[in-house]
Amino acid sequence: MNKPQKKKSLARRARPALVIAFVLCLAAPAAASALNVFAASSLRDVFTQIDAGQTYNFAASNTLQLQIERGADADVFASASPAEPQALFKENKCGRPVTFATNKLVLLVPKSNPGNIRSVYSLRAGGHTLAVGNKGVPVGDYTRSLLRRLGLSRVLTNNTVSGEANVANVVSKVALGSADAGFAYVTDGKIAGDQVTAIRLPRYAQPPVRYQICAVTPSAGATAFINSVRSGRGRSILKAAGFGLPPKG
Amino acid sequence: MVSLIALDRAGFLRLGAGGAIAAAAASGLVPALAGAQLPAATPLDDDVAFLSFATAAEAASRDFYRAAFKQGGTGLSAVERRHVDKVASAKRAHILKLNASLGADAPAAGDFVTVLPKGAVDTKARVLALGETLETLLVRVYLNGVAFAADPGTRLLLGRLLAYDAEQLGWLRAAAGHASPAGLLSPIDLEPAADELDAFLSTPDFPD
Repeated sequence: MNKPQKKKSLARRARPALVIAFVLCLAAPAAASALNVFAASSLRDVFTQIDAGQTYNFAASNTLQLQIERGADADVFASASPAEPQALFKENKCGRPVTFATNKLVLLVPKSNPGNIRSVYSLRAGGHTLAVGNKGVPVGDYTRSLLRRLGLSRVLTNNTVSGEANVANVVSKVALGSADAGFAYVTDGKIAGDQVTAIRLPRYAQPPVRYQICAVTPSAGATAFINSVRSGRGRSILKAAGFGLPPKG
Repeated sequence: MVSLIALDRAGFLRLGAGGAIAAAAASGLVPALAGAQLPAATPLDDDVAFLSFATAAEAASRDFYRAAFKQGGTGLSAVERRHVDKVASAKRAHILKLNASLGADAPAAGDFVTVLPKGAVDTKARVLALGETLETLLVRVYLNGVAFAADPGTRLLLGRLLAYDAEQLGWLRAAAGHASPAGLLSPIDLEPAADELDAFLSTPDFPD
């Protein structure tokens, strides 16, 4: 084998290694640029489906708001109620929030329904254990608003109520049978459908549950993420999970 | 638990005057004066439930009357259409009053929308039948509210709405050629009433 031929063969053998090195070089900055997305607990399943490549912090929206106010490193904030992102917007701590999904409340009971709860009005009798979001947590505030509209505020005093820090805890309590019932979103009822039954609540008493999203740290990545949530694909994923959708725009 | 209305003499006289004005207004003598001096509703405890239901149900019936007025060729006479239009306007005013009483608990525009059954206002018979269904529901809920609301002002508001809607119920029945029922209407609990009302409501951006 002469010299040029030897060189050619070496180059051919080195090509796969070069390709791998090149791919690694591309991948490294991509991983480093993963966004910190702060999102409401009820968005866990859909957001990881829409974009699995980001770093997520799922918690109650009011907790996330507080973390952002205290300087947490967030790129995007998605909340289960407009109150938190609107407050951050007013404080100049995030861009203008946009509504990207809606939801509804349901009353969840364990599949075995040990409390024999047939409707929200069954709770009037008292003596049940209830899992309810704390005041200030969107699902807790929505629940209190709904109960007030139904004239059932007293169910929070004549039943044994466990206050929960986020909607995921409400669902866990009911699914595990630690509570006879709990107020959560219709989408949570779908996720835990094999362990819980969702009882419909009167439409006239439903508070408007609206999810809003905003960029905390403005960047092309944050904008791209928000656009992906609001894209046709994002909307299909949200819809399949049971969320309602605002008109496109 | 039913509690008695606590009114002092001045309040009683005001109510009496209000009642006289309302009676005069009903007879067409003193329009738009009734109610100016009446105590405002300041709902206590679960009174909000009656008012919340009322605002949603009145909105559904207002939308129904509007649809009936707009729909041509139903067979309603010109006089009947004018009456339907007048009721729609009155219902709008009632909703504003209810929302003012609810304050922060009032539903926002777009919280729910009215969905009337297909063909509900196509013919006079259908218009009158659906109108009777909606007004009967309202009257029965108001009967319950008048009996059990804790706040006197709320009871009075519900009572005034009861009087108005009972009048419309009578009008609808007469227009349909139905005889007045022999018995009395019974109050209805909010639980079955909510089920009935749900058939006419939908949540925007959240199709069922």
